[in-house]
Amino acid sequence: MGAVRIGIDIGGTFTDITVLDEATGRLAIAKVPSRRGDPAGALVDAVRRGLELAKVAPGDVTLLVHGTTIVTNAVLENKLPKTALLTTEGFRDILEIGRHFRPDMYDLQQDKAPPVVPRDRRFGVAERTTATGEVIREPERQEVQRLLAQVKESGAEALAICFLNSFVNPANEAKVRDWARAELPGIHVSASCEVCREIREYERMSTVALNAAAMPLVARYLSEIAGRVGAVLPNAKVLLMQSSGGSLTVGAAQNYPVRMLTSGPAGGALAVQRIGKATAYDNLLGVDMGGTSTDISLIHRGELRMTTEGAVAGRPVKLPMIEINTIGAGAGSIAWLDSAGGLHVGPMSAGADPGPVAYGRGGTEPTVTDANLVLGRLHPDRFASGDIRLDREAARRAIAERVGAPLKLSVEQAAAGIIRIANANMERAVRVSSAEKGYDPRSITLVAFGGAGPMHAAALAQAARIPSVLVPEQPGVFSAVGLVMADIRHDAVQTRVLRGAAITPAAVAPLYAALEAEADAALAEDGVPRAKRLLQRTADLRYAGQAYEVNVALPAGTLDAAAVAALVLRFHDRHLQSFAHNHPDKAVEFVSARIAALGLMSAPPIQPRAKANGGAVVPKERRQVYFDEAAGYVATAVYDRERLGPGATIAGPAIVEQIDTTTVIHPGQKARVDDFGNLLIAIGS
Amino acid sequence: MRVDPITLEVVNNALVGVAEQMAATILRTSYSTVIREMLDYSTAVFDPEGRIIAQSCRIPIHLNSMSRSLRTTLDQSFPKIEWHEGDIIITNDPYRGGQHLPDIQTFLPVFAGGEMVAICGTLGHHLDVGGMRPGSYAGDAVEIYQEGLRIPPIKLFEAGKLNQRLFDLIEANIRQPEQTIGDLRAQAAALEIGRAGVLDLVERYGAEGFRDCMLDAVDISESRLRERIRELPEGTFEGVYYVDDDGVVDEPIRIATRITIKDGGIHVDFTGTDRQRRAPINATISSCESATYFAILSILDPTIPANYGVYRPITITAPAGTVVNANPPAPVVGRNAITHTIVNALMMALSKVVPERITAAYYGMSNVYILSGEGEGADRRGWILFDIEVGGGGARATKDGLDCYSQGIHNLANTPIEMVELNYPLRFKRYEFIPDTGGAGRFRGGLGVRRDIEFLDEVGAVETQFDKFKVAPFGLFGGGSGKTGRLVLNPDGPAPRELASKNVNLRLHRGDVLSMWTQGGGGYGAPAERAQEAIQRDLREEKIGRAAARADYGHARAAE
Repeated sequence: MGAVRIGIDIGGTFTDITVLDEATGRLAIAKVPSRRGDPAGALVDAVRRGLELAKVAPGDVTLLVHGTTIVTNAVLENKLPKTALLTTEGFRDILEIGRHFRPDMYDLQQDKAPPVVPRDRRFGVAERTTATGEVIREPERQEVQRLLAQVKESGAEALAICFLNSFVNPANEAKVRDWARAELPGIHVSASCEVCREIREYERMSTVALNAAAMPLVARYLSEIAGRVGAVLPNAKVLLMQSSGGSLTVGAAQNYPVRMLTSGPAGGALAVQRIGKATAYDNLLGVDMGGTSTDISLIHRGELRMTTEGAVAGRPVKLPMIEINTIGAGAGSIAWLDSAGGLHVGPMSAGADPGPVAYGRGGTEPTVTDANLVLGRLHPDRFASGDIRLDREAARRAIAERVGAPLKLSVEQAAAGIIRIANANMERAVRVSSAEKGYDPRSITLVAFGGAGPMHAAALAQAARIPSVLVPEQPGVFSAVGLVMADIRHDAVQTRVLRGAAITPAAVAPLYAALEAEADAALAEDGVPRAKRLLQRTADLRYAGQAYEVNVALPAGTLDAAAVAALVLRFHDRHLQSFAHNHPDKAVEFVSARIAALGLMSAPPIQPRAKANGGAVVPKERRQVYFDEAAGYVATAVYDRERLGPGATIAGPAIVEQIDTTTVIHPGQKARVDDFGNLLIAIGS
Repeated sequence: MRVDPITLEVVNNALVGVAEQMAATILRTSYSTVIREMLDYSTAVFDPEGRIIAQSCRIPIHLNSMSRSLRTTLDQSFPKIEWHEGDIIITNDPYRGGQHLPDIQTFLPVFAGGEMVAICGTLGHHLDVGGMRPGSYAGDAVEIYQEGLRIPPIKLFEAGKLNQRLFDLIEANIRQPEQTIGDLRAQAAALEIGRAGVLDLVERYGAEGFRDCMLDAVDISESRLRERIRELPEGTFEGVYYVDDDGVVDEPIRIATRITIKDGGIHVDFTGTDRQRRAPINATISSCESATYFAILSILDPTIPANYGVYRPITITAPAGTVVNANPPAPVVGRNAITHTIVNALMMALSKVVPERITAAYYGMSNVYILSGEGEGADRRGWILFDIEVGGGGARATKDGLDCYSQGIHNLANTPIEMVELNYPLRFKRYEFIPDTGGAGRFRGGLGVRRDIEFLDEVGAVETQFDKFKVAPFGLFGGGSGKTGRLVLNPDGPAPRELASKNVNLRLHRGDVLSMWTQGGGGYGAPAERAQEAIQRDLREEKIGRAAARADYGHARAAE
């Protein structure tokens, strides 16, 4: 056997393992329970499981791509290492003041997220750079040394540095950074000019503070796994998944851990993109529905939609990341009535413990899973590989008592109502990601994955006017596929505001030249050979006077007058597409130059499966399943996913069961299995 | 109930989604910093009678007044029969349901099968609508005519066609027309987005089903609020609070509130409130109602969907000719001094009824400042920066007030310093919490903030509308008052100059530094009951100083 890649995604409950044979493109996937408390041990465990599973010799593994949530969890749980901040004197509270807009208009009891660095570890340096980049006050070494002594005294393990206007001229910031590194050898130092050279001080400060705070955590973790992985996989290079959908080398991950902050759902989005490439669907909407939340991503003309306006737990992260809309609607979302008898679903969730009423672990409030069970969509004995036996009677009682009786609905009507509302919550999020961004839902294929996605996808697509649904072969572990497909990636940005006629090749070309040199050096440091390096340019533009920019692609090649003119034209088009109007006669402003530097890992395309016997297949059983549109129970065919080979066709209503999920096909809908083993559902109008 | 609860939930959520989508469109495509960075705009969907059904999460003082504006338009200017497909009606008239001239509202009817099924609306605070001072904040106006261009309801678009002459009229009467016209276009674009969203729902649920959902939504919100009111003890409760002055005459303005809770309704009587002033501090009835609705809803149950239904259980007596219901031609641009004070007065009144749900007084003013300059050099161009600053939140029954965070009737974001410095000849010197500004208490009031700005243009001016420089944000149940605000010119120079809260055309020259100190929030409960660990944390974080800690919390307790 030739070169093999392993992808390992360690989540809170499960660890997903993917093994890819580079020569054949063959994938093997597995899901094992996560081991708590010892993430490095869990990683090594998972590696061993992967080797066993795919019958691979350890020496054949050339690449291990790892997705980890240790940074995300530390942020969500407010358990980041002690961190200090140096900023311009007079501005140390920017990190805590934020933008002071409250997310709920009426709630007097709301709080804001505590700052990553508390006030007693935030220090002001007497220094100043103007908006045009002129240094009007240089930092004084003695003063800075005094502050650095206080930083050390405070017990901080990490130090973030962010000065006003450092995105224009980082000289002062870089100087203080160098002093800090010299004076504080045991403390991790991160400066905003290295992490995010973009305008808007609060967002930049938040990003670098999170980066610094994550550095000690990630350094400890990576040094622990380096030895242990090396012992098991002698020939494997280790890469880490980042929020942008690219991967990072261990060295880069230590310096820029904030880039991994939302890497969890990134794997899923990347897998959706790859399946689109294989199946030639250009526009796809990924719907990853788990127990407590649903992650929605969009691929347009083969490209993932990206954003630089992400946030985690109320803290902005101003870095390119895959745009993922996460909503609090999942299989464990709780159905509840307000005081006037209005029915709502979520955002509270029963989680895995106690879980839905049907788990019989003490849950009393009905959830979406309970509703699916009551309606016959889930089989009580075949849930989660049969590990959990579901108690249908208990679910019925809870829904009848808590929803049905107060609303004078039958238990089935109440359960169907819960599902309709959960779907409507998801539908709103689907619209935010598609129609509201100017994408026509009729051109989109919905890719349903996660444990609960395929159960809701057909109804969701119908409501959102999306004509087809694709359910991949192993929806429960689909996200892990993205890991082994990721290219190495570095993103770099430089804000330089240029208005109208000032957007010239002479002004723009040097920006990209500098960014490209920097990005190319980063790839070289990662050991990416020249032939595998790909640099992609984009630019953030807006109409002069607007505050928000539109990101527009800029082709490689000479940046001459024609290229600049074409860039401006593309901006007008994008503005029209996204906001339904544009102003071709208005002055355009160039705001930031961006480079995405890819180290191509040349993952083989997903291979079609061997043809099996196509045509109609025989169901393994029929059972009574309730459908709204039929206003009652319908004798419904039930199929085993494993036995549906390429070419198989199914007519709804139907249920397709497999180890990690259940797919619901509604009356009137038709489904078939494509050459790659995907189940395609055609949604009637 | 006309509709099953499931369909109702689905449609209502979708309608809020439509309002949010309209808001996102304005955010992404507007021009002035007022809208794009400060988020001073709102969007909503109304039924054909002008009742608000769904609103975006933006500015409460706007949202709860838009119904009155729209209903007044329907009653007095354009009856339903005169609304046609493709029309957009605009207005900013405070005496026809509006609040102050910079707030321009736009409304678009949505038709399905020839019937009007809904109206989409937006409200944007515009950088300038003319009048005697930049930013249309004329602190010395004695009549509304001096405050800017007053636009009674009029069609900006007629059957899809832009009324260019009206645009020309507006353009000729305002400063910085490029930004205002750009923002109006963003408002128009948002209405189109709203229309498409509504039509999608009508297509799915039918015009009748859609209408029934709107009617039910209003009824449900009403019944939920009435139910909350019925849980309260019946009786009458008073709260009296003050505005410092009107900026022209140096006398406090009394806001008297008398809340009567009875039979599932709340009556708020403003009798005893001071007469209207010949200064731009007056509120029209729409501002007064909006502040009242906000206070009652946020105190009694913030989870009730805010629509027309929550207004019904609330009745208001606001004597005409007072500062809470001014008669024309009283000037009104600074009406937020009154509306913030109404909210705090109602907190005081209801502290006797639901002490666990109210807050002590927050900073209590929008703290508006408008900097303008004449520009320099051959291609000199004048400029205007409109900005606000917030202060400390009032402490609550179980937690501290929030330090420097938007409270009450407004909800604004600050403008990034780097964005201001890039676009204006201004340089920030400081943006920091001010220790000891939060009222002491078992729970401490939030801190005010100090913001110092250096003026770098050759010559220019600043207008300010601040308040609570003399009347402090009150504490409750033994909690101390928040610190009052202040404005200082050249605070660190040889001759610092203490300024009043309201300034008109205060000349600035290169190198002048304007220093703004915003108000702290009031404390809640006796300081002696404050947890030792909270005092220590505040000391460590320098949110309180040692001297103040000893004075407020006692020697021994403040010692380390």
